[in-house]
Amino acid sequence: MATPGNLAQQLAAIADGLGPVMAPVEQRAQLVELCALVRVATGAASVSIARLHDDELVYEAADGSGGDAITGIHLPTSRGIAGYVALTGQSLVVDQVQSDPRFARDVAERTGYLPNSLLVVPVVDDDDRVLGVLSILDRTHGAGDPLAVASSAARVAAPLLATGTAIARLGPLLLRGVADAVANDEQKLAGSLRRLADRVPAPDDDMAAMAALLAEMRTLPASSQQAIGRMVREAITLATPRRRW
Amino acid sequence: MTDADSVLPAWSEVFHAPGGPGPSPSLRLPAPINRRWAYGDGRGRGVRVAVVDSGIDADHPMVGEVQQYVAIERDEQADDGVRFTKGRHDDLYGHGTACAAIIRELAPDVELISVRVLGENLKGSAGAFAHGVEWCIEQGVDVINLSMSTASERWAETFWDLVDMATYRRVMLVSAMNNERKRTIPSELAGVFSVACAPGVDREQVWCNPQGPAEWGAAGIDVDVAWLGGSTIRATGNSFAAPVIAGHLARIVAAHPGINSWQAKTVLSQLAVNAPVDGVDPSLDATVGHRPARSVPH
Repeated sequence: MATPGNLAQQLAAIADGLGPVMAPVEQRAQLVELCALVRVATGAASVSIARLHDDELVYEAADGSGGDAITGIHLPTSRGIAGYVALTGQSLVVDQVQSDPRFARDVAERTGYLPNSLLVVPVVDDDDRVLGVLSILDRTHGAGDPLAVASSAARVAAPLLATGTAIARLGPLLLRGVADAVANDEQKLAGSLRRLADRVPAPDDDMAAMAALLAEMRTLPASSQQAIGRMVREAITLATPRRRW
Repeated sequence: MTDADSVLPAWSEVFHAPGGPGPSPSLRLPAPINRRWAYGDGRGRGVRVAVVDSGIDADHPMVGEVQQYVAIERDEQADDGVRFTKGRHDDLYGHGTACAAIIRELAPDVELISVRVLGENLKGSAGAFAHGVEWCIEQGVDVINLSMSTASERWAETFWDLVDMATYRRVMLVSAMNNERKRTIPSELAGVFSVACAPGVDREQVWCNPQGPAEWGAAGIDVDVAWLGGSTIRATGNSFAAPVIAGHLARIVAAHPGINSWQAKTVLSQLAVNAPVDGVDPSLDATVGHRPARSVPH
């Protein structure tokens, strides 16, 4: 027989599983368009964008040779040139990659396309945290300096990946909050989200805490909400470090 | 005039020690500086060079022996959240091996130290490589090659402290500029040897840009570098130019023990291919310290 606790557990399990598929479709299409643009600009055989998810690179968008095969695959960051870039945030340009036997075997097995050259730049947020990588395979004489083109494209990709990641994390998090509220027979979500913030790892804990605050704030009169908004904006201005170097 | 005793402001004691002002600068400049004087035999004997990177593969024929290893790993139980694991380790990616082989090529008798700051339980964060640099300074290595940097301002203060500490302990910190046009630390701090790519693939050539922030130039475009499994690959990046400067510094430190980083900058600038014409002619002694690539001691 279905009990509230049982239902809540099922809901939590679904929420965990849903994470990766909750990113909006349009966002993925924009990443594919960006890959196509970079491919034309650099005369490359293939361009791809991967999202950093825990210890893996998840290839979300690609254009060109082997593009279909690489989309959707997961590669560990513990190896490979893209893994190095994802971990260090330092870009890397390598030609004759086939002379690295491990790299050649890995890539050939997974995509059926083996490049001669690889240019990989990190996609980073405003605080230089790596969100993913952008890879250009077998560039030729394109319209501009390929590293500059790749860096520029990575800056465009950054908010797309950041938004996608936030949405992919927020959806399951809210569902888990609902599951917790059902299990504990609570009428308000704020308490459940606060408890969740103590249980889930970073960066989900911050997101849960913010969601709890927002849930609480929404119960206040409009004038109070506006006043809190003004105070938060002031606090952000004060807390933003001034550039010193 | 008053009769009051003179006061000695803090930090001034060192210049007031009995018998003289304490240690003197150990550099006596000849005129002009040439490669033979600057590099000695050019082998870097006895100089300890740390590569803060992905590890070093000592089995690679272009690297030779690695004298010391330490891997920095996450450890929630430790005070700083990291632990230092000694003992031989692999290179996870190939990048550290590439840097080590370049240093070995230029200064074959250096002692190499592999400081691995990447790993399965590390995200390669700026914090990890700050710990790596700090470990090197505390160990008193002579030259540190750091081919990583960060644009995160959260780490600015940490790296200011580390760079100052390195400078005052006569540790030369070589840091690659970012490959992309953004401001990063520690590569842009004045106390480090910041390196970007100069023209050509000849690692004997050093360029100097006194205006900074990319203060030094060396070969790093389309260069052949050691990689995993005994292989070589052709690669481009400021991170492959940095170890060239580290190699030249190792020669200078071996020839002039006790030299500090600004003295070494003076020497290196005089050897630069773009040094003033009325200064040094680098071609005078171009064979000193120059040897074919891959002559690795066994």
